[in-house]
Amino acid sequence: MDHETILARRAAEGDSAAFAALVRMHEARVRRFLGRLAGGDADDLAQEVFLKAWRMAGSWREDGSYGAWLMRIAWTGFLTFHKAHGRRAARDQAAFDPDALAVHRDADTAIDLERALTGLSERERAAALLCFGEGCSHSEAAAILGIPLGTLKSLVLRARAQLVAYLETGHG
Amino acid sequence: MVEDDRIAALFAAPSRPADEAFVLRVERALIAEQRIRAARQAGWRRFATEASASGAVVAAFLLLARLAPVAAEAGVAPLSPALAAILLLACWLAVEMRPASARG
Repeated sequence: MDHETILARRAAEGDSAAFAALVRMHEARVRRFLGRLAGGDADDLAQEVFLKAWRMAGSWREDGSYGAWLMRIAWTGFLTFHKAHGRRAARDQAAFDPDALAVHRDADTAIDLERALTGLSERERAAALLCFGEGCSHSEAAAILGIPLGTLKSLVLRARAQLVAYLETGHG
Repeated sequence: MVEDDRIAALFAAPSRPADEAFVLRVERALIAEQRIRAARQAGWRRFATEASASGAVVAAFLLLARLAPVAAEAGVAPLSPALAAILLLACWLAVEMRPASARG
């Protein structure tokens, strides 16, 4: 049994120190993913993701990685946020909030990525972020987004085509 | 492929150590949530206890009100159930409304 599984089991039994260790292990990835999706609200959303993970700690099934489970919660949390706040507000904040862009440490890279992703649907953005940015396999990304594998592959292809077009126009 | 490398470069993020300030923020939020939950549970328990006590008091005075005519016929002058109820509720209110500093 790996260290992460041991921590997740202890967290499910109410061990907050074990849960803090899990937060320490996964916060960068979750915040980066949400930062690229939701912009300036990423940290609030990420905090909600971890609180939800704590409440639902007992429902984590050991057939997948804890990180993927967290990313699934992050995605559903983002969708709820997006419904409540609207696509435009989220996109505007992502584009202009320097704090959100600072997640990447290199603001120029973040702005480039934001421009490259402009025009993609939320699902296409998320698919690209997971497969190109977080190194998820197609099946893992499909599970995180809760969509069939074929749909995920179509989303990734569309996103890739747009990214290539962006890079070919001389922005990359 | 060159394109894939360029896409990967676009998404690349520098690795960094865990953000302890964020971990602390989550821990604090978690503690706050646990406290709120505990307070809410205590509130519900108190409400259930007081509702049960109120029910018992009401039932007791209903019973007294039924027994009062019988007692009067027997020549006994019991305390009026309504007056007793008002006295009891006044005592209860006095206990509930006392300042927090006096609650120990």
